[in-house]
Amino acid sequence: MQAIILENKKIINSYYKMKLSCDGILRPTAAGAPSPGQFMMIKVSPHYDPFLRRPMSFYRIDEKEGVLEILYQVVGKGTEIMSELKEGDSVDILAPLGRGFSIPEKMERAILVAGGIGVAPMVALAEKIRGKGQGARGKITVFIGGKTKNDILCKEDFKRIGAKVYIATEDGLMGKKGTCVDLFRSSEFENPQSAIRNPQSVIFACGPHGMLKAVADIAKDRDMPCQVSLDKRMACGTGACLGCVVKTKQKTEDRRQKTEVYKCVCKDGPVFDAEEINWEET
Amino acid sequence: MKKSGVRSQESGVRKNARGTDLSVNIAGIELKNPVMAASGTFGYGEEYTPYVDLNKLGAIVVKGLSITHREGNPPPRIVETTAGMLNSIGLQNIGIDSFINEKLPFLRKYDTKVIVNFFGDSIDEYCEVVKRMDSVDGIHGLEMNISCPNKQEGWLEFGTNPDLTFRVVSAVRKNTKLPLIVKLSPNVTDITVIAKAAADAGADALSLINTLSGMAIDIRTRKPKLANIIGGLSGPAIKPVALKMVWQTAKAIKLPIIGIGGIMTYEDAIEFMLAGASAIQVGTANFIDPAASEKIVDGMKSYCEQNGIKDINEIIGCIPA
Ligand SMILES: Cc1cc2nc3c(=O)[nH]c(=O)nc-3n(C[C@H](O)[C@H](O)[C@H](O)COP(=O)(O)OP(=O)(O)OC[C@H]3O[C@@H](n4cnc5c(N)ncnc54)[C@H](O)[C@@H]3O)c2cc1C
Ligand SMILES: Cc1cc2nc3c(=O)[nH]c(=O)nc-3n(C[C@H](O)[C@H](O)[C@H](O)COP(=O)(O)O)c2cc1C
Ligand code: FES
Repeated sequence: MQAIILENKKIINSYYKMKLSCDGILRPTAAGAPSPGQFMMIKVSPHYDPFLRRPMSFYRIDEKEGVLEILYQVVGKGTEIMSELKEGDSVDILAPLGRGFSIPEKMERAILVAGGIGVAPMVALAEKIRGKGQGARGKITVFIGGKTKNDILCKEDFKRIGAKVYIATEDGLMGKKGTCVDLFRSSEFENPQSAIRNPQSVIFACGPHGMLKAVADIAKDRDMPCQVSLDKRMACGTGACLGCVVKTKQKTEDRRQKTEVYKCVCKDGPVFDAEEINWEET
Repeated sequence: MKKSGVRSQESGVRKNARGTDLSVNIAGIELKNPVMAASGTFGYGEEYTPYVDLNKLGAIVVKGLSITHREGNPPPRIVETTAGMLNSIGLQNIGIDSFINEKLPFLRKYDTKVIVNFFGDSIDEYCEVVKRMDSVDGIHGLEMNISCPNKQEGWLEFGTNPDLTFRVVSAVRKNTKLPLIVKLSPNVTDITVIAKAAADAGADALSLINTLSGMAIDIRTRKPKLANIIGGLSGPAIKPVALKMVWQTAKAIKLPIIGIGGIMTYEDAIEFMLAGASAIQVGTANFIDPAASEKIVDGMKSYCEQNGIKDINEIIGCIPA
């Protein structure tokens, strides 16, 4: 469908925000309303170069106004063209796609871990959690990491939402020196060791693959449920081409045996349970 | 000469208000229009229902199936190239039985023809797959992918050798009564030689082209962009090559031909029909615009109306030899 650009502006360096008016999509459909962790496939040019659509997570979802916002980093040809689009231009998008984050009913604390541009879907998620009234004020904790202070995005968004924010930069010029994983590792969040998983604290993570793997490891050690949003190159975005696969572990119903199957990040994800992913293979 | 064979008996019913008849007959399969969704680019149909009215398509060719499910190749499996893309999916699929039990019931609900694309590692495997389909309700035709390596004979691709092509197609022909379309690989010196082998072995129709073999390298990491190193090129980049092969084959072989390769618009589709195709398939275009196939049907209809074409069959192969 065609969406109209309401705003497209640079935040800092290579980071941009784009606001899209996309009425039809936000009306509840069979697929449901767009939710945090889901994404759109955006056709940045009507020509054949770049040829494929580009996947972008929802950074903010305003159902009332019919507005979707994305936060993006210019890394190549497609995002470069996006950054040059103007207010009033229309772009062709497919949305909502994929499976987003699921917010467990009994969750008491959400721990959001975001590396670099991975922060984008976390803002929509925090807003949704807050909107649901889940977790009292302060019970959303966010760990953001980036190379320099200019790579730390959305700090103000999280503060507005009322989340507690911890920051790390690799050069140490803002917040702690290190990565968001280091920050999270040094935190004291832990679920009590017990035979039955206590789902009161839930981790949600998005960022580079290595970072997600590290977060998944910590989550496992601390026996905390962890959802990760994966990033794979995509062609169709709808589960048809089987191009965006990730190796996952699955229990077969009959044999109680673990098998490894490829799943589509676009359709079965992009959000997966960290435990489901075969981190060695991907 | 008209190669599409018999015209629809019911074509009267299918004529629209202005009287344009888009129906074609391929190998005995009555299509309400010449537009099919290409194998591997349309899943098992379901994936596209939010975007396309499946009833508007001539046929759906489902993702290639084998006797048992296939894992496929490790990722990365796709890479964008200039006006196209490379894929090395590695024929991942759920297997013929799961398709029949889990996916076909959904497709049966639609008024569109279902063509099952299939493949095997050996002649026996090809035959096993088709045996499972012979009396299954809701399968209207078969499309045989012969761009696969033969594990019993040095992994040579069936579709690159006329003798292997003849043997595998003959064997499959003996095991099925369903209309049999053989899908040709473009990665050969002379496609008409393979086309002839398939025709001699009893194919009812030919579809072409499958993807062109290619590769891409990341100059920063100095590594191939696909884990499998090589993949298949598709999209507008291959259209001129595909068109030429369709034209050549249509001239050489008296079987209906289904044109495939880089079709993005109705103009592309008409071009293929003028070159000699009786029907066309829309592949990679589905990724760019999931409604592409439906738009191509509408575009072809308008083209016919505007150009006074009463029956789409009139334009098939309408260019000077
Ligand atoms: C589900 C999902 C959600 C996403 N959400 C966002 C978002 O909210 N904001 C954002 O800025 N980006 C997001 N991305 C990543 C974004 O899609 C890519 O950065 C974008 O497609 C790059 O396009 P390009 O033409 O600018 O770069 P290209 O010219 O295609 O590539 C530039 C460089 O980036 C690499 N690259 C390209 N695509 C990807 C990819 N998908 N993953 C990793 N590396 C890649 C290439 O190998 C190359 O080195 C998301 C990706 C996915 C799969
Ligand atoms: C991701 C992908 C998967 C494909 N899978 C199959 C397949 O399983 N069997 C087959 O015969 N062709 C397969 N093809 C080939 C297409 O059906 C088609 O022949 C080819 O892509 C050229 O057409 P296009 O340029 O319109 O895409 C696949 C193509 C793509 C891009
Ligand atoms: S991008 Fe095509 S299946 Fe995921």
